[in-house]
Amino acid sequence: MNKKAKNWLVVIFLLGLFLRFYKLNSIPPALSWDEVSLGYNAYSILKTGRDEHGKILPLVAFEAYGDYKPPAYIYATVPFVALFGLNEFSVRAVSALSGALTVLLTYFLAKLLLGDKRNSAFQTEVIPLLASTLLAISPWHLNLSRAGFEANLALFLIVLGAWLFLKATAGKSYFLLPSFLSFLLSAYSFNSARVVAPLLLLVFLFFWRQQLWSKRKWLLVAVVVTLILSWPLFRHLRSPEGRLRFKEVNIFTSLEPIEIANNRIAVDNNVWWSKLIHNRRLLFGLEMVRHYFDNLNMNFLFINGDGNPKFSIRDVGQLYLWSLPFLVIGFFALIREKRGRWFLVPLWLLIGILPASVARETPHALRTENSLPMWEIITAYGFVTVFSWFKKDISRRIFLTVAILLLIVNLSYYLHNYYRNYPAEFAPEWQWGYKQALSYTKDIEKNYDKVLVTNTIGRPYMYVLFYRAYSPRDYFATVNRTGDAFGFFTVHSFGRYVFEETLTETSGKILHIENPSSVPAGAHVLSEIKYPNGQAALVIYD
Amino acid sequence: MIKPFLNKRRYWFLAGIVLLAFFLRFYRLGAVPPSLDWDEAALGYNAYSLLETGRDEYGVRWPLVFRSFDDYKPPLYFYLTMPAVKLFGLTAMAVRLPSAFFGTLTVLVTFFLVAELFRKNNRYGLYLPFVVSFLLAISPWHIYFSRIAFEANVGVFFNVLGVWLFLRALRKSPFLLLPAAAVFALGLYEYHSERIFLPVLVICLAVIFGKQILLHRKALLLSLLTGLVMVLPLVRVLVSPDSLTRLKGTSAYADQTGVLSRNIIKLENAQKTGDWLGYLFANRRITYAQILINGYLSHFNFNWLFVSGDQERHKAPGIGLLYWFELPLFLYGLYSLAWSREKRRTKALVFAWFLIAPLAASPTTEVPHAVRTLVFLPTFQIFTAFGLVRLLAKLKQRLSDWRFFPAVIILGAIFAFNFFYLTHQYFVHLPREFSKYWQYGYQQAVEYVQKHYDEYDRIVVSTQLEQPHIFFLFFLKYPPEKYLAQGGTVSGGFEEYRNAFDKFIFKRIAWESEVRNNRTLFIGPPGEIPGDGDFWIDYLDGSRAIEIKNGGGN
Repeated sequence: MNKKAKNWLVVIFLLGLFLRFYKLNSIPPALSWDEVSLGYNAYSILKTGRDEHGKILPLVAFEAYGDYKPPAYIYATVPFVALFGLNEFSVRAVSALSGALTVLLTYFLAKLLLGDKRNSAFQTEVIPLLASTLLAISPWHLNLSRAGFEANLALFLIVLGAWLFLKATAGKSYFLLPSFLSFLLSAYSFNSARVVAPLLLLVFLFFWRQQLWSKRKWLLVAVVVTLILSWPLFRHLRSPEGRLRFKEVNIFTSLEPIEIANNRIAVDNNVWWSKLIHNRRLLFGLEMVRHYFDNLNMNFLFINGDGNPKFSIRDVGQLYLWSLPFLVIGFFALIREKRGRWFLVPLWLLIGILPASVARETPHALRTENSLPMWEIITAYGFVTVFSWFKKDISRRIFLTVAILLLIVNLSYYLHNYYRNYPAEFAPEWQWGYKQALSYTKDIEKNYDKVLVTNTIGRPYMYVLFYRAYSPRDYFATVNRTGDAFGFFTVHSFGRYVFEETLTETSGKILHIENPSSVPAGAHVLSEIKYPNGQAALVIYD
Repeated sequence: MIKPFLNKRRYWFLAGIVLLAFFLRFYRLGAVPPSLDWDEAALGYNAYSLLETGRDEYGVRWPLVFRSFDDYKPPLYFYLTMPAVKLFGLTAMAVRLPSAFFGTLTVLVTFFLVAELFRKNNRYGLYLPFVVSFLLAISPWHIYFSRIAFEANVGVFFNVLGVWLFLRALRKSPFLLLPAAAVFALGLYEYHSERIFLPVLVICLAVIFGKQILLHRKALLLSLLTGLVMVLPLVRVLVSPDSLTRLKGTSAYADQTGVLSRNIIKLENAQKTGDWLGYLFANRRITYAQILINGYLSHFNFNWLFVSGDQERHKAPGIGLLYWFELPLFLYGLYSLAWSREKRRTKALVFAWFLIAPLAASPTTEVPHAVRTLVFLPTFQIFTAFGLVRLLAKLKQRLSDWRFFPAVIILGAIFAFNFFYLTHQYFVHLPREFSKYWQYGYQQAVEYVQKHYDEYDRIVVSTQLEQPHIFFLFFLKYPPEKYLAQGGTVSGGFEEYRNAFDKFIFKRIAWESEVRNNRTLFIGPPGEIPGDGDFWIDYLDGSRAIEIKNGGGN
């Protein structure tokens, strides 16, 4: 690595850091219910060593809302909560930091993956630098880095694991252990990593089987340690709670393919070959393929992005439109030129999308995040390929100027919309309103016997716990909650807070935080909480 | 081994492929798809009307644009249907015949086009035309549209023929440019999207083959003149307000408020904060560009192409527009053709054709759209064939014989399964599963009406059944002169309730407020006619399609 490249890398890393931390508190505009849950569980661990349900240091899953959150993100958040308190920054810091570090690692990863004697000095440095630049400004990665998304931590750990593995094969055998552990930890961070990490590891082991033979001692240590440490996770995944969550999201619980298959077989008079070609497994397989290809949909990738505004701003795709030609050319050029371990790049990308193919909602930016930063590496490769088509100095300059200008247009369009329009437009998607209402009632609620908070925005109890930094012990002592058949919890009340649509006993002074449509006529309104676009979100009255 | 064999029996092979294409396009043409859709019925009845009276259903003499359902259809297919109706009567088969016929011919001409394109390729030049035309013969996409009366399918024939003539002209006789120009001009009369595709294609040809064309100035000038003269009558039609209405109806920009609702909020935001960049970025032209690019790119969707396909009327159950086995071969073909040592001009033409195919569909609603982009054909087949031939050559070179043949057999088995699955789904399961999308039931309803015609004075048919007047005209073979004497069609709009002829009235049925007696017959969907009808027609999957009820009952 020469000095010039090092300076560039520092600049790119700083850019990545800046774009991930600037205004992290206020954009996205509010904490989602998952974010407050991550934050409060970390706080609870910090204060009591137990989660919100009173379980001591959960190892494989936090029960949370009944969705059994993977533990790594919560534990990683504990020091930030200890240092900065319970606020937006500390919940999002782990994600933002992992994002910035992934940008840095992308350089080293790309360099090792595409390292080849045939590369020119220019190719050796510029492709990895460009890849990490593209990740630094990627809408996909920025959106997910700027909120408490466990997937973003998982991606960092997978990229780290892959890089350590490549380092290990290049000489330092003992790197195998941290590499395996990093892959393992990613499985403790996010669900989709539980598919991607083992598959990717198997692919790596397969392609390096010869080099690994000479490092068999360390390999054995790494495998044994990893297997032992993954045992609790296995047990959790086989347990009813672990399966429940998967059942809710997967496509195989649909009855439709079975009905279609049975109908078709009946029409064919139940002949044996009809049972073969109209097999339900074939139809389910087709469904999987369909969901897989959904994630390669052009509108998702290049025009509007994920339909869920938490993952995308709906103005640009997951990737910049700018990168489309370079992506196509880079893909083919990579196959053609076969530099280094080129085949791992498309293979990784395809594996990264795999978890989304069994899920109902597709395309899904979060479940396919593990395909990053392969998109960026391919785009960078394509860019350098196109650049090399220009032979004359002047034409090269023109190409560079135009390409960079267009990229800047793409980037500023995205950033502008992200900072100026996104927070107001999609505030409701981020459960906007509870924080503002709670900060208003903070000083006055001691004058009331009960505080009634509406459920309409979602999981109000967690927002109260979070923004009051409520003592986990007090919460646990007074909480009244019930679970439903799907394993989710409903909290009805704790302390002076009640979370019901209507209150049965109406004695005493009650402070209401209600959604505007259910405020009774003639109520004594104290304050109205408005969304940034001016519409009413919540009304406070007594 | 295969080479001399192919060379000697070239035309036998070609004949076999065309015969296969013919069979796949004509076998049970009138019965699968299970019934006519409204466009087909309109094409058929108007052709019939032209034959009998020289006028269309509105009484317009020899139109260059057919108003039909106020969608202003291009004229050529109507005229092509006339001989078929003359020969075979007003039947489903006759209406679909031009499409099936030209579909079969497209397979033949594609052979010659590909032979011309890859003439210089010593290694694959011999095989490619066979493989491409074979793939087109069995292509789901091409089979679907060759078995429906679709203008677009005849359009593809003109494209292929025109480009072939053009290439022949450059090599053999420059005066072949004349028929090429004539064919391109005719294409503009065939289908809406051709009116965008063909001019762009001609420009591409001019750019790619510019040097060669300029060698033959005389022929060029003559052919340009021919083309212009032939297009001239169309220009008047195209700029008429009626065609512009149609254009607006399908344009993605028609719904301004829906499209721009987010821009308006952003503009207000920018105005409030005095943010000039926000002003620039919220410009509606940026949104328009995004819609256009989105429409264009939506056609490169693997699901649409290979898995789920287009809407039900444009596919067989569970099959996309292309075979699954074509996906890897297509990608490999794209890659290997791009980097092959093929002539630059050949590559440029194939890629240009492929890339401009979705242009006409891009600014419309309902993207991706399999009909408006039918002009893609046969480029997908060219790429796939190139991939296949390259793959086989590579396998042969890499593998010993005892490994090569099993590999070929496995490939063949996958292909055979795909092909069998398509024909099975198309001929066995499509009629049952998709009959409701094919507006099934009119023929049976008309048969009932004919049997009981004398028992009624008024026959009310619900417009909820979608354009019922044309189906009754078609299946009754109602004499066009009699129809026109009663005023013909008033309008083909969707909410039209003024159409009527003979005893038939076409409007919405409001059961409670209708004048009901036992000299009035009501025909409508289950929702509009309460209770059980006196007669009913079921879709082929057993669900209820149409209820028929005597007005005297309750």
